[in-house]
Amino acid sequence: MSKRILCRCEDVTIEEFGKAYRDGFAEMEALKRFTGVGTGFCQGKGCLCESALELARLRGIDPSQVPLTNIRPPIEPLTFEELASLDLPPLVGEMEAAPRGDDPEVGP
Amino acid sequence: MADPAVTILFEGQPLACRPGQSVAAALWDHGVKVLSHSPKYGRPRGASCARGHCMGCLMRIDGVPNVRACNAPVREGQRVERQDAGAVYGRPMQAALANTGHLLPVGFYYKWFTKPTAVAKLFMRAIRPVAGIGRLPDEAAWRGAPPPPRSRDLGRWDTVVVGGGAAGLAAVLAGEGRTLLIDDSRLGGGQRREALDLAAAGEGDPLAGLHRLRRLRAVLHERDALVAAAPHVTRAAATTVVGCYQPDMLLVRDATGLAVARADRIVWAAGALDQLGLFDDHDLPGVMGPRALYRLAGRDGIDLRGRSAVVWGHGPDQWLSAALLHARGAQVVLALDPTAAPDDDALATAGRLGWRLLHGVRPAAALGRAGSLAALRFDDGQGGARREAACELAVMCGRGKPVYDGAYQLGADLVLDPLRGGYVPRGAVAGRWDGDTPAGLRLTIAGESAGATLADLLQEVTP
Amino acid sequence: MIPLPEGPVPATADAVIVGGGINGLAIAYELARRGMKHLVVLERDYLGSGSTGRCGGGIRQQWTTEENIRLAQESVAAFEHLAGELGLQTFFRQGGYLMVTEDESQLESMRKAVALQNSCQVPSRFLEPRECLDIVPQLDVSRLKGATFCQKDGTAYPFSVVWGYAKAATRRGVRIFIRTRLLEVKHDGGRITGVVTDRGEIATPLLINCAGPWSRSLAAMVGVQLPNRQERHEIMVSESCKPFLDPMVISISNGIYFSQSMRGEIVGGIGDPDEPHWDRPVQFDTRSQLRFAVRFARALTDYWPPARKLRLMRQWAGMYDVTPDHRPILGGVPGLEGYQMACGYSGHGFMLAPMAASRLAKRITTGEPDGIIDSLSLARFARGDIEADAFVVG
Repeated sequence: MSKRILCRCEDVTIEEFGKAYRDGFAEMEALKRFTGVGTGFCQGKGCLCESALELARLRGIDPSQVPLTNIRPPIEPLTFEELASLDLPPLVGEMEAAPRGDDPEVGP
Repeated sequence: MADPAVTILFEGQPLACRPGQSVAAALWDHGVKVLSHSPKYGRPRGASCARGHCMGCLMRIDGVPNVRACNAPVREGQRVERQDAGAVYGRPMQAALANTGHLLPVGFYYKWFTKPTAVAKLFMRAIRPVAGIGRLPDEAAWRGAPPPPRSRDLGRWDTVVVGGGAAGLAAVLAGEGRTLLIDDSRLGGGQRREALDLAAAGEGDPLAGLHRLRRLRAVLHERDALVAAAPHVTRAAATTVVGCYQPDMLLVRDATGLAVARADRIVWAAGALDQLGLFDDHDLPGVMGPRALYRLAGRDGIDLRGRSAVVWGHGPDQWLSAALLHARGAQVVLALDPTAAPDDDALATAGRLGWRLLHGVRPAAALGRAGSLAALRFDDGQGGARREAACELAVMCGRGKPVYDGAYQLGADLVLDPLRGGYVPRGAVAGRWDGDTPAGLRLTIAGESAGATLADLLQEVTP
Repeated sequence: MIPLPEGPVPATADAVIVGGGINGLAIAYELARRGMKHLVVLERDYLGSGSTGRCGGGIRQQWTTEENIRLAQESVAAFEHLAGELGLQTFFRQGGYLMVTEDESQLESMRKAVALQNSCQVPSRFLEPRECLDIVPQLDVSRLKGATFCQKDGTAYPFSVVWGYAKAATRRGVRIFIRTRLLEVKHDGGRITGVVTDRGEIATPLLINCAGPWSRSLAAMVGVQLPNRQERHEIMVSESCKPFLDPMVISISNGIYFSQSMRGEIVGGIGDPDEPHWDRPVQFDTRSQLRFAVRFARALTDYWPPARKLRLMRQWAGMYDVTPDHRPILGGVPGLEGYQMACGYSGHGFMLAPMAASRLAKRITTGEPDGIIDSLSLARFARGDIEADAFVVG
């Protein structure tokens, strides 16, 4: 059956994106988590602009008003053995000078 | 064409391939275009971006799941298999899902079977096997396998330029201090240089009448030669930026593995990505953009002799794609978008080389046969004036989409601007943005990554 | 229906809940379910954007203090029925928690913990290293000294739970304002009178602090000093693969944890003794660090070598709101009427929220004492009545 695919990785069609929008997911952050756009193998390279434009159209707002969702590193998937081969980098940025925790022992 | 020298095993069947080709290209040459099926609806997919971004060519290679066949070079004895991710309950079930999908919830928004609790548990058990693409790696692929080479530290540079196209080379030449140029193409000059060289070498010199593309080629060669001779510049070819970490860290990968570089100043000139347009079934194998074509016809040298190809769109990438296809022996149909500016040089070339022309058309649907592209259907953008063009390859030359991910990760403030193809730096002027990131990095975003088009760049280099 | 950042906030409310994570939304839902009207939830960004949406979604009952065990036990029971109650799949899956150690000296306390958990009817058991292979094939057990396992522990998808609560609360009349900032809390003579937001003022007699890592600064606005500090922790997901891993695996000796989500991704993180801690929100730095990816990759490939050939897709950081005893702070404070809080979850807010919200809502609406809520009040720190849980990881 013919389909107009918005996100190839997660097989989300334009119609399904609109349906999720009408279901109450009115922001990219929510649409991303519930339709899966931008979270698949391409990490949004193939669908993030397209989805944001579609959301602007659905909401009737200027595309510049759609906030950009976080594009988290890395840019390409990296095998764990590749990453493990790196020399341990320091914490960088402001963290270099930030106070250190004396007790890391907390968690899920 | 060199003699086949490498034999791979595709689902048990030996296939002869040329060394240096990617697995995806080798399979194309053997008529295999469907490399995977999409996870939910089981739609056939193939190499679409040809640069390791999309998931069309995820295959199991030598027992490792989810390898991008477009980026994996062929090796003797390599085992290549398709993964059938979604067909847990059988292909007919998936086909049924594709036909009734509009009745189902979208993505992860499941309101059904939430109670009673026992039913919810059964439902979770039933849907879990559907998730995921590949199966775990074969034990032989990891147990006792040698570790990857130790990563390298490329050190700190005065300037790192990401992207070796026209904008990146210009930035290198205008810059000072110790400079590292990171370029993911093999040859200097970015992804179009190889395409331009191959087009120029084609029968009848398809570039002969395309003066602005000839000029671009000359400029790329000239700048590349200057960069190669510049003592302050180190060039990392066939090297890709695979991650950026604030304030100033770039993680890069080449054939030998990962490396880290830091810089006082970074120039992000990583170009643009193909944007195919959202017409029906645009995800059929055989539909691609010009940048994918440059890779597949350039580095990979796929066999295009006698193949029918439609090149839709507007602008210089359309003409370069057509010239490249012609040079590689394909039958070219040029489908011009209604907004395409009349270009006398280009129309004369089309006439001279015998390209069929369709004027004022927009893509409406890709039509398939046996899982891959058989024709492209056009209309006038309003559903009227339908026309079809038979083709096994469609190159969609719409507006490129600026590569924004690295710029974003380094701290650039981006804004969605459809007129400039996607996310571009807020306040970019004439395809350029300069400033300091909040983390204190001197950042420049230039060329297509800042919203310029190839046409803009040509304007700049044409005397 | 749709919580979009449009329009002004209402001029009055019976309660204002600050924080649109699982705690704020669950409390709003529970208060509405108990008949409270005119409830407003304020969220500075999008729903789940603070700590909830950044967490690993783990839910376990293997703790070393009886209170934590009891809390977690009630939460697991709540999660079992939550999808039905909220009308949305939460992707709760009881694949178990496998807690391993490489440290001989931890075995004694692990055996003790199992005995305590069993006495509370938590079906955990102690495992010899080789027995772990029945639960996670290909785990490298060569350096392990022992493990504990509880099949009833599990994971859920945080965003489904957040949106499930948000939608269920909205159906009961709760008004949720995302992308809305709290600027000031008005209080007068020891009682809360209202809040000022960037969308206008709300007069309210009840303020509930569910602001996670921002709770300390919110409390300071009304003169309440919390002993919480905020720690940065990072987490990642891998590419998605067919199901291969049932439980959440946690090392209590080196702090790595990983599980496989219902989407097929490995979700995991690892604590870092070099991470800084903060006490002011302005300092929160949740930008990703390559250091985390490298540390996690090393630990994961050591523990579970098939991961060598799998790929990391994306990484992000979030803040833990940590108390001195790693247990939450619930309820009010003497001398300040109309101020309640549910914060200081120390990295396990997601797993405890449903139960804590239900109890706190009951405590607020009925005024009846609640043994667990009252034992977790802020006053315990002044009394010195604290017992830290030893099984805290990440």
